[in-house]
Amino acid sequence: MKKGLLKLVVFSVLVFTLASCAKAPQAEIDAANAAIATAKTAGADRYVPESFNAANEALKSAETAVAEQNAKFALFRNYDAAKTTLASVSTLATKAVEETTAKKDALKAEVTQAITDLGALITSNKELLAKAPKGKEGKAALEAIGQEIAVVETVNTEVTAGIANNEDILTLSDKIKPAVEKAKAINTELTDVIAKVKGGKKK
Amino acid sequence: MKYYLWQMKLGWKKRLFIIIGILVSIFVIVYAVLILTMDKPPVEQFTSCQGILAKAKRVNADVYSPDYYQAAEIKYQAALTEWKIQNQRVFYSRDYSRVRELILTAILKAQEANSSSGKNKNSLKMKYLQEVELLKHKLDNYHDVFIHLPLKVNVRKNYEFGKLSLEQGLNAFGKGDIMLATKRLNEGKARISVADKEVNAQLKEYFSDFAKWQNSFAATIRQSAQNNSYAFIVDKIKHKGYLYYKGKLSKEYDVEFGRNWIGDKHYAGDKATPEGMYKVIKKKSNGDSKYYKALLINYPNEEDYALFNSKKRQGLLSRNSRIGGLIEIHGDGGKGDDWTSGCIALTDKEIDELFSRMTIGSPVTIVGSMMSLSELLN
Repeated sequence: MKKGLLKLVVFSVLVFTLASCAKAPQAEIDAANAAIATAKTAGADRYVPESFNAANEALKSAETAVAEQNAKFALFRNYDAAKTTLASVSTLATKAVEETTAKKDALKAEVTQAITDLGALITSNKELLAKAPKGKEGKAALEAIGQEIAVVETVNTEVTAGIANNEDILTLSDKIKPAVEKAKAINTELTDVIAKVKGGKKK
Repeated sequence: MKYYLWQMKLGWKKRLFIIIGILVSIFVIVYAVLILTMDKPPVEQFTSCQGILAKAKRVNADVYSPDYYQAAEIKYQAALTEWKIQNQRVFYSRDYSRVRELILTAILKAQEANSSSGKNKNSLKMKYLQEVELLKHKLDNYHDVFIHLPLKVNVRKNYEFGKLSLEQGLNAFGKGDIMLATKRLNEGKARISVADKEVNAQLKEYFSDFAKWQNSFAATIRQSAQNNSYAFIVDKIKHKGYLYYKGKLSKEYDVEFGRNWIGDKHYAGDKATPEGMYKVIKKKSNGDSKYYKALLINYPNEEDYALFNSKKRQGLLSRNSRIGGLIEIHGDGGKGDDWTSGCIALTDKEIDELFSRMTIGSPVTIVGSMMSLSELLN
């Protein structure tokens, strides 16, 4: 009986010891990884790279903290700091997704406006081209301007289709902005040339 | 008896206490020995590596020094994986030496990524700007030279798309995105290369006469130098007329030709401007010419007659075709178009200048180009 009681006590001590050991925060690790993956899918690495990188850096720090605790004897492990960091990873990644969505919406509005502006410029440029005098460089120069207008019109069509097909808005923005500048430059050039000729005729 | 029983009770409790005490002491001693002697993971190196990788990311080392950066990330992950593997082992058999090796390699790669990123970015910037200048030169060429050519619509479109791609690239460069700028530049180069190839194909046959043109304008300049006189050389591709005096360039003019200016004149009414070495045979003014003033040249010359007759014999020209004539350098130009019936037109002011300098017998040489095709394209 004494031996039995002794065994029971030793066994109880062992069970108690094992039950008291902290467990690695696997659920939190999985949640953090999933949050980063979601942010990457949303395009956070391109649209809000600083926020995305901050989340990634926090994840690395959390992984090291977990590994460090796992290296210790079971009784002495404490995952509190690691759990806090993992929670911050999820928070940062979620914030990156929100910022990405907001940035995409803002860019989409810009691109949509640019499409409208470019359309108006193209119409105006075609009208001005029809009125433009041939000048010294003449027919060839006007043909070249006509081709420039055709090119920006193609870009406008492509970007319009891109918006409808939910293509990457950053790429569409990079495409259309120079086309708008080009159309403005053509507009200024044709307006100036026509004004000069009119001014010359008045004399 | 009671005393005996009491002795017994005290005995096993004491024994239990002693046994537990011994177990705990053994546990503490063994743990202390193991803690002091067992291998420890390189926690500080991991923290350090994270810091260096973060810095590398901030300077875009993943873009500008991708090989080193990727290598650093791979080694870092490998080190972490090895750490996890060692953690799963029984504590006294853990060996973190491989972990230390991997994380140190990761640190070195990350440091290299950091230091080379700035250098690589600057190098890419310089290369980009050089290539932009080259492409701008090609586009200037197009604008100055090829714009007059009867190019197909898709060739012109490719040049214009090339120009727009260049502008898109410059826009990206302005925002600091060298990689996107380089991508757009390469797109522009590809478009312009396609256009150049088409222009090359279109002009290659025409430029088979280049050696003859070179000889003609060299001979004309020599003649101008030897005779201390004026000579007029026309470059059709550039749509320019060059007035030489005593072998040196005196003035240049924009000139206009017939609609089918590219190529030699074959027959009357073909709207082509002839090529060859000619001379002024008559000066027309005061109503002699319908074009304000004109310098009549001796087209067709002997060579023209020989070529015309040869083509007729070969059946390349119809039996009824005539060789044509009355090719002049005249005024009424400045229309910005190739509108003549084969003559060379200048503005009235410019024909006045030419009229005052050129005399009967002054050489007039008309060539396709004074530059070779490869010089024009490059």
